[in-house]
Amino acid sequence: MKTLEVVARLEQLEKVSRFVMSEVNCQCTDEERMEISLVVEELFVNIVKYAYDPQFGKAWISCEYDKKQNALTLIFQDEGVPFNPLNVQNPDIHSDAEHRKIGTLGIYLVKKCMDSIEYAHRGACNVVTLKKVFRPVGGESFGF
Amino acid sequence: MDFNMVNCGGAWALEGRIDALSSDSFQTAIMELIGQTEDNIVLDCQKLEFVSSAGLRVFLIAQKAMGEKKLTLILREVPTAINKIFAMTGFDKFLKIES
Repeated sequence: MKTLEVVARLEQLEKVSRFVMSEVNCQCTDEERMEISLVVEELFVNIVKYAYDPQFGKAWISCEYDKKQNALTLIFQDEGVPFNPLNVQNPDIHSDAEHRKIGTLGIYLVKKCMDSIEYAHRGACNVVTLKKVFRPVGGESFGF
Repeated sequence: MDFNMVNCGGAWALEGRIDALSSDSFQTAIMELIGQTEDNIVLDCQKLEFVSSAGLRVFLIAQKAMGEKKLTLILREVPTAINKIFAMTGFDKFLKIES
């Protein structure tokens, strides 16, 4: 598994995104690639915004594509305030625009795009481990 | 990760990525447009590549502002992958998405 260490600042987003996307480049559909890109942004931006506020700290992003399982494992780590994304309440996706609260969609999108999410607080570290199994290439990959 | 909002005769084309880095410029551009218009706004999404929660947030703010003016925000030519994000979050229920 390869790991990238960055300062948790918004301008590092492209670097983090490139790091993960280079691992999944050929293995999945455009749609799956966008889902991974979305997950990476939501989790990294969450660390940037909330983990160390008002200071800056570090974030570690690890990824590994397993050919046998055709699956990607992602691990996001930070030493900020303990935060379990699994405790975030899902938004009411049935309410209309007038009653919609602004915000709160990021973690929900992460949950929808990945097959599994685990959270642990180890030492002083938030550790979020996520996995996505890609659809077999050539199979029915589109549709919703 | 560039984003552009371009006037193309009657509609506004959204091009590129609306993410945490570009959502502020999208918000500024669309809110300025909403402030000035007395008509419905058509957004051509054909060249839109990516929308994250930061982008969804702006679509919601814009939709609310248009609703207050009793006007409609119309999205056209939304790519399948982006449509999926709108559907996942229930935004397809209140955004007017035309094929």
